[in-house]
Parts: sequence; structure tokens; C-alpha cells
Amino acid sequence: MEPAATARAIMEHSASETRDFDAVVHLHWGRVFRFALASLRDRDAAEALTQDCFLHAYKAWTRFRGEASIQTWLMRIAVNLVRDASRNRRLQFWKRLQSGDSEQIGVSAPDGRLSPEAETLLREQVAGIWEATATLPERQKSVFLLRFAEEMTLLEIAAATGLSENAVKVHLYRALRTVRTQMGRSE
Amino acid sequence: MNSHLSSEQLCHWLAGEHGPDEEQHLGACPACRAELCDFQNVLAGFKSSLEQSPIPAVSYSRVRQTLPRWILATAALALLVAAPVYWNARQQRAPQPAEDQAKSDELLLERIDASLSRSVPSSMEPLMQLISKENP
Repeated sequence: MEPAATARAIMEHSASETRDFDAVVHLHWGRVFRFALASLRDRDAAEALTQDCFLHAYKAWTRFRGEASIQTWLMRIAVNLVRDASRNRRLQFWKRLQSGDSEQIGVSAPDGRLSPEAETLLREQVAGIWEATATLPERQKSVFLLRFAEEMTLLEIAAATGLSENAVKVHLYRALRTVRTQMGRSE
Repeated sequence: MNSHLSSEQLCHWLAGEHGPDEEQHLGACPACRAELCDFQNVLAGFKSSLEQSPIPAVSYSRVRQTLPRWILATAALALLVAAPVYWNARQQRAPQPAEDQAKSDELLLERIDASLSRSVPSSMEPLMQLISKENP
């Protein structure tokens, strides 16, 4: 192949990859942000983490071989970034200040067709889950959020967290037990 | 299994671990099915509450802010390393003031010696040269 043709092919390939990555960003941006927000309970930190996640993904984009789904791959990056962020002492300080504060995430019923009483009860119970998740150890929280906020399968969670499927089940069980206990449903 | 499922058993069920006994019990016990369904509804409400949070537009503003900070940090580090090296080199190139003073004093003394050793004052030297030409 002529040098000019090679250069053109590389540029076309590169442009195509950029377009592909752009589509990935627009498809998964919200999902990664929601996971970060639920994990960190801070919109600014969640937005920064989302940007970091896609920056990491972009740098590794050419090495992505499709062994896992793009969603699982992005969630793996996000889980690692959340873990790193949670180790940050300053963030821990802010998290302590914000514990119990559900202003960052609107707590509301899944649909408006419930009676006002049922909606109030559900709202309280959902707020209880948010409070309970704030107390969970990092790994249990990630597994719980990936399962019940992102509806990922146990195998996908295992791939995203680097845990075995059995370990995922154990963390999920412990998280659910804590949540139910704090909601007063441990009878 | 006659009694209802415990909270732990329900948690195991939701965590994907359950045996045929629990499955059979749930199939036959409306109370346990209702409890499981109710908790699943709360979990769905939890997911829904997160989905109702507004999502920021795709942006890399933070990344753009981070890159110049890296550059600034690198430049500051390079300056910190280069400044003492440059200062040392400059100090070594510059002549030592004490040595300068000694050389200057030495030159002055040489001139004084030369002046004192003359047989005639310097202003008279041209006249003495003329006299010596006339009387070789």
C-alpha cells in the first residue's frame, strides 16, 4: 500500500473508532453516572468520576477486545474508580457530613398510580434503602447497586468486580440482610 | 417446610441462592410470596428513584481542567530542579571578588614600583630622549 493510502486508511480507521467511542459514551454515560451517584452520594464527585471513567475507557479503547460487554467493561472501570474515590479521606469526610441526607438523590415512588398513603410508605422505605446502602462496606455496596440499580446479572457483576460468582452472592446476601435489618424487616 | 421463610432465606433467594425447598414453599405460601413481592417492589422503587435523578450532559470539562494542572505541576517541578542547577553554574562562572581585589592591588603595586624605579619623571622622558639623540 502506498504511504499516502496507508495514512488515509489509518486516519479513516481512527475517525471510525472515534465515532464508535462517541456512540458508546452517549449510550452509557447516564448509566455510569447513576452508579457513581448512588455510590458516592455527591453529584459533583459522580460527574467527575463519570468523566474519568470515559477518559480511562478512551485510553484503553483500542485494546478493548470485546471479551466482556462494553457495559461490563465500563462498569469495571467505574467500580475501580469508586473504590479509589472512597479511599480518599476528604471524600470520606464529606460523606460523613452527608450521611442521612437524601437531597442529592430524589427519593420518589416508581410511578404515580399508588394511593397517597402507599406512596408515602414506599417513599419512606426507599429512603430507608438509601440510608442503609450508605452504611454498607464498599464491595457490598457496589454489588448491591449493580444488581438492584443497574439490574446486572450475577455473572456480569462478577466480571465487573473481579469477584467469583459465589463471592458476589455472598456480598449480595450480606448487603440485603443489612438493608432489611435497617428497614425493620429482619423478622 | 411448614413455617414461613425467614428474612435470611428471603435474602438468600434474592441473592440468587435457593434450593428446591424454598421454591416449593414460595409456590405454596401466599404470605411469603407477598413479603418477597413487597420487598422487590421497594427495590424497584429504589432503582426508580435513582433513575429520576437528572443526568448531566456529556462533558469533559473536568478533564480539560486536569490537563493544564498536570502541565503546570510538571513545569513547577522542572523549575524547582533547574533553578538551583542554574544558580550554581552562574556562581561558578562569576569571578571571585576577593581574587579580583588581590589582582588589582598587585597591578597597582607593579605600577608604583615602575614609577619609582624611573630615573626621571615621566613628563621629562621625551626631553631626555631628545638629549640622548643629540649626544649619542
